[in-house]
Amino acid sequence: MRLLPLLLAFFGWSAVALAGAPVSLNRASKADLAAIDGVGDATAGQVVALRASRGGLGSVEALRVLNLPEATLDALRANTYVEAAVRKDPARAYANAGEVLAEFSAEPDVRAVQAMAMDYAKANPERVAGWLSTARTAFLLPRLDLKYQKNFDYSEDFRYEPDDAGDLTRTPYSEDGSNDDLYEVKLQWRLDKLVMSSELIRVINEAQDIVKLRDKVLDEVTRLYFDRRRLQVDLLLNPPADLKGQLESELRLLELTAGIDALTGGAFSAGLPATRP
Amino acid sequence: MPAVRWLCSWMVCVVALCAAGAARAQDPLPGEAIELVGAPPPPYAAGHRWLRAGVSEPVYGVVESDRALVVLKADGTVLRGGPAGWRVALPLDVEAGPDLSDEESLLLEVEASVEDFSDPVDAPDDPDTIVDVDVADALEAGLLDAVEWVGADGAPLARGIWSLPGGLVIVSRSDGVWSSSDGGRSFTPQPLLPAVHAIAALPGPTYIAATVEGVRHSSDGRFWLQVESPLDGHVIYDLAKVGDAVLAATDAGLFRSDDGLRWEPLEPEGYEGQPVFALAPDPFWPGGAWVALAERVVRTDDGGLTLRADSRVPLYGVRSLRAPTLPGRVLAAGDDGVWESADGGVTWKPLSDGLPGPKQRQILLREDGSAWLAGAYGVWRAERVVGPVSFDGAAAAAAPESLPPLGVVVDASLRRAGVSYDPLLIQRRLVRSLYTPRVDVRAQLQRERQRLSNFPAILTTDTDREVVAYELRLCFGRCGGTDGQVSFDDPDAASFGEGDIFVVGDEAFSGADQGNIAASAANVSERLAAQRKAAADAVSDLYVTRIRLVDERAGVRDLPLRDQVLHEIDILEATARLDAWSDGLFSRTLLAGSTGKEP
Repeated sequence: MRLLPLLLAFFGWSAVALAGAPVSLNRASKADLAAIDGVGDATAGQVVALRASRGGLGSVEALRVLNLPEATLDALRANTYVEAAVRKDPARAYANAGEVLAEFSAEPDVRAVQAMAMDYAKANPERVAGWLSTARTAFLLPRLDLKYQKNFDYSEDFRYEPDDAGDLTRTPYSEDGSNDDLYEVKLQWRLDKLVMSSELIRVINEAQDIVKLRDKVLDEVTRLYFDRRRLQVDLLLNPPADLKGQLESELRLLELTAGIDALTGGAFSAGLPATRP
Repeated sequence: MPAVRWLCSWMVCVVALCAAGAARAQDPLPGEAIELVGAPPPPYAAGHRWLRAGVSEPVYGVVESDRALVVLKADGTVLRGGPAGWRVALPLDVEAGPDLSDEESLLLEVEASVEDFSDPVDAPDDPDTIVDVDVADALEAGLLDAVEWVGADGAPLARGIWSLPGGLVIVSRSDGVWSSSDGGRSFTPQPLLPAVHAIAALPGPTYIAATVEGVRHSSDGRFWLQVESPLDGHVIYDLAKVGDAVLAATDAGLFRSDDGLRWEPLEPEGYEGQPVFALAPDPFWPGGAWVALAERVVRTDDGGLTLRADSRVPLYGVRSLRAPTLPGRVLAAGDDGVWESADGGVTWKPLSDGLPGPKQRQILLREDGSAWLAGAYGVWRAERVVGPVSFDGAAAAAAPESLPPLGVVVDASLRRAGVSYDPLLIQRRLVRSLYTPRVDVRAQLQRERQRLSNFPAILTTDTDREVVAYELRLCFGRCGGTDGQVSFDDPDAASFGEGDIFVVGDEAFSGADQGNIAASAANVSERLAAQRKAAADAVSDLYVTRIRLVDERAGVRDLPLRDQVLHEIDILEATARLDAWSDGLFSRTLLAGSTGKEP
């Protein structure tokens, strides 16, 4: 497989990047990347290392595996570009559809991609089941109230009587003191809430939203996956004859790959063969 | 016996040549336009039925662009995809839309009958009363079989979708006209183009649009110029290139133009000024076309100069005519269902097997020869019937793979975490919870120490006392109140004040509902029921689609390898979607069938 990289003309060919000009995500040095506002040395190092391990990056979305903050991804999106490459695959004869599809056997299959998307969206069925189970069993534990109460009471009575000089003098008469301690343990089992509770209903409500999100994510990632596969088949069996058509197809392939990466947190590109960005 | 074999082969050739010659002699069409290779495929009416294609809401139209279907729903949403899955390409509420107020006033004129109304209170006394309801109400009340595609003022709605060469797709809906240059994947507004009734593409390329403000002309489908013509002020229902000219079907009859710029009315004898609703050029006869009038489909052989009624059978309310690339074949769809003629329009047969009702709007003939239908009941595809049609058992059993029964897959989709709760179960549990007690166990130890001194009597009394109390309390229902020093308060009751508003799901409840979770449970149950129904519908559609795709495998083996691969990808996509809905059960069952192991 031979790649003829074609730089997009509007990004310019100047070898010396002007200040603020976009740099190539695949060719920029660590220093170039670190110079981007909001990126920094450590992130630039991570990007260069990932790029080297993969043989190239298809889009900024592929960097999601590094768990970079969205602001950093935004900075990279705004200040980098990716070269489109036109592939010149040697013509090969295929006997049947199975042989054609086997060309892509090194890539993650659709079920793996669906799992990646669910993981990234945190919408796995297990997570939802866990919520529901927790909401159901939480009321097995009793509500525990511990109470300690200290009552201290003291009172003195005095008697005022005139002395010989006729002045009033105060004489203690009695005193009354109490020092009480109250300890209380209260356990409360809401057995009715084991059967059905407002908390469980709220969790079911939340679970419905999660399922909706999961269905939406799975629908979108499945569509992108097979749109990409159809395009790959077209490029293999019926490649555009003109350069413009080839470039458009390659750009569309990058776009679809980036779309899947956005939904899988870059895990899709991480699972692709290292030679193909 | 080489001599006998040689003689036989010559006899076969002679018979074949005679048959071809006879066919040419009987055929009234230009011989050079027809290639007689084998027997023509049977008409759709002979052995086809309609199957739902994943969109069940009313749609204005369906087109093919870049190998995918693009659909305009009656609510304005544009979908792209196919039976294996649809994606929203243009939502209804796009901010860039100039005005959405029209959508709110979009009215469908409904011929309602008493039994159509779910609520008898709303039913008119006279069964023939014409009432206006909005789209949502019409959908809810199940009045789809009576939908008329007209606006509140009775004029035809300028709504539709058109696919033009180069991946160009144009949509006309309530908030204006939108165009796509990438096969319907994304759309941008077309402020220069008023609402469109019809669009035609001419060689050049040149595009002609019939709008509510007259004819527009474009060379690229993006920039449109107004053309003054006698068509201004008329409703143009259809445009079609017939021979070297383009014909316009209008409420004032046929108009003709050679370049889309200069138009002249046609006055065919006997049909002067009669409204024309649809056109279908005859691909085998330059200048030939079928023309849909209000009550009949007629024929022209000379570009509309003369019209001829070949059939005595009336066809009412035809809105779409299409002629497949098969001699003499023509399809008609409209208010009276779908009809097909295999003899150039002389006789017509109904093609309605499988359809829930007659109101249709558009036929699409795809490049692969399949026929698709758009109308009040969504999008449908004509499927070839092989033996008795059954998609829930027989077809699955006949399939070579170990297909799980549809019921099992649907059940798996309903057992997924988050949708597995039976809505009725929630209500039942709620009632049961009212009869389940709250258990309070209380243990209390109180130590009292008291000293009492009386100085005159020089008497001091010390009291030291311990009190231990245990309590077991069962409480049903709401358990508020206090008991001595221990407060048995109800946490639910404490959560909301009388004047508070709290929101559960899509509904708001007042604080007066405090402690009563019935309202929120009812709301959740309703959402859950809708979610489960949507899951079951989606799985059923995908299941049937996948069976069809697998069934068609043998048919695509004669196609180029690329088409075979794309067909396999369609099957893989349907399988992946079924797996997504069933948490992988579908593939696990298939795999178990092939390996003999339990899933």
